[in-house]
Amino acid sequence: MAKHVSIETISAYIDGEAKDPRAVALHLQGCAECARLQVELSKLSTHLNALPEPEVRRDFARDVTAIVADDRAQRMRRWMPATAQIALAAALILAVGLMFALRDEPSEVPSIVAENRVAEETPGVSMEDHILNQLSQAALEDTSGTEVVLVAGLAGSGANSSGVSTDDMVAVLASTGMLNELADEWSASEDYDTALASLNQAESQKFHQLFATYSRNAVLGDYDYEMGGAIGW
Amino acid sequence: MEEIGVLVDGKRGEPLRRSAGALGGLEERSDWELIALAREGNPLAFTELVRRYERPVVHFCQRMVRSREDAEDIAQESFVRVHRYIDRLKPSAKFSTLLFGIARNLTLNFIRDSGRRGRGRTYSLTEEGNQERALEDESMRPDRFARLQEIEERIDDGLALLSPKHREVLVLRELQGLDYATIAKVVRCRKGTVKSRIARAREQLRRHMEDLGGQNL
Repeated sequence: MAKHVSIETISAYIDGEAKDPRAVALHLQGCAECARLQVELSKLSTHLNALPEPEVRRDFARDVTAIVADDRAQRMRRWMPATAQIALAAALILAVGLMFALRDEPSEVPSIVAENRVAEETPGVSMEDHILNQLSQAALEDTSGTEVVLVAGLAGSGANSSGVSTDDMVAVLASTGMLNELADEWSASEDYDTALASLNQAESQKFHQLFATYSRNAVLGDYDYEMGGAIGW
Repeated sequence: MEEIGVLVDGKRGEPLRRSAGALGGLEERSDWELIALAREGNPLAFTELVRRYERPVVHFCQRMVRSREDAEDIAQESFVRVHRYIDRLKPSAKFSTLLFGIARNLTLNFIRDSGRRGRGRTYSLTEEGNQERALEDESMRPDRFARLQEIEERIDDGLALLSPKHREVLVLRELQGLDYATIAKVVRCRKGTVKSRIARAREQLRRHMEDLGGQNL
């Protein structure tokens, strides 16, 4: 039986993001089943694109500007002591306001990404946030298998720049569901073999133990096979 | 001259009148130029930025949370957050990427906090006003209108059944036209993860349509 291309490949091909679009096109010409799937996904895409865009109410932008002005005014009022508003000159009021504003600002200004992450905002940076930030940063670098290497590296080495123990790190990842999520996605990713191949045997074994302990997915069975095939055990 | 109901010294309701010259062609300014002007205290610059992105941001939020009112609230909050941290923004990436990233996080927070997964009042062709606009289109015959309405409802329901992480990437790809690299930055994951999530989302949606007998898409 001829080998089919994965739905992931067809999906990426539709979006112009396939690694080898020529090879995909050639396959689709000769495979009725894959060609039918491509047509169905393309039709779906067409209908999604045709979903109506809601009309935004006319005064939306004006309301935002008003909210923003109110927000700014409230923040300024909080920073200025009440007595300063009565007696002092504008320059002195501004100086006192700035003094209070600087004192209320955190000493290390969090980035926009940190302020708006899905995890609850905390005044400091918790261990969990630190680990998640490391993983997020690695993800942003978009290096093939970066997350795999990072997790396995942290697990395998037992020492990392954050000063967090391997067991703590693993516990955090497990509690946030990240390990299950990552296992679920990596098993379907074409980058998976490449990622595993980049690990040395010790890291791979540790990584495998990590998933064996924490993963709830049946895909773990495939992991055993795939890992063995990928790294030549 | 054009009358705009915006702000003077932070007070609502004082109309400004502007001439094209006085604004200096804000419509032609880039996003980061508008940010820079807003930092200098130009409220019209920020208003222009909001107008530029209000529709796509509300559309994204609405497809994530379904309720139009909630979507507008979230979209508003997204812009408020941008303004709150406007002095810290750096033009190291596209502004739209930053904005969608904020909107994305707020929608996920909303979904998590409300315990809902996209249930709520939806935007639909049957909504008053939308129906009238649709029927004004001469190509929208009643039977075609009904068919499109049916497909739209099915797809909308299918989107709501997706997990938020699958829904967001599909919406950003199909409705906002973002490429995988940009989506990866917005949702803060690998490009490969975006690729697999989009594929899974499409497969789930396709199966949903099949289950409803929607093979003739």
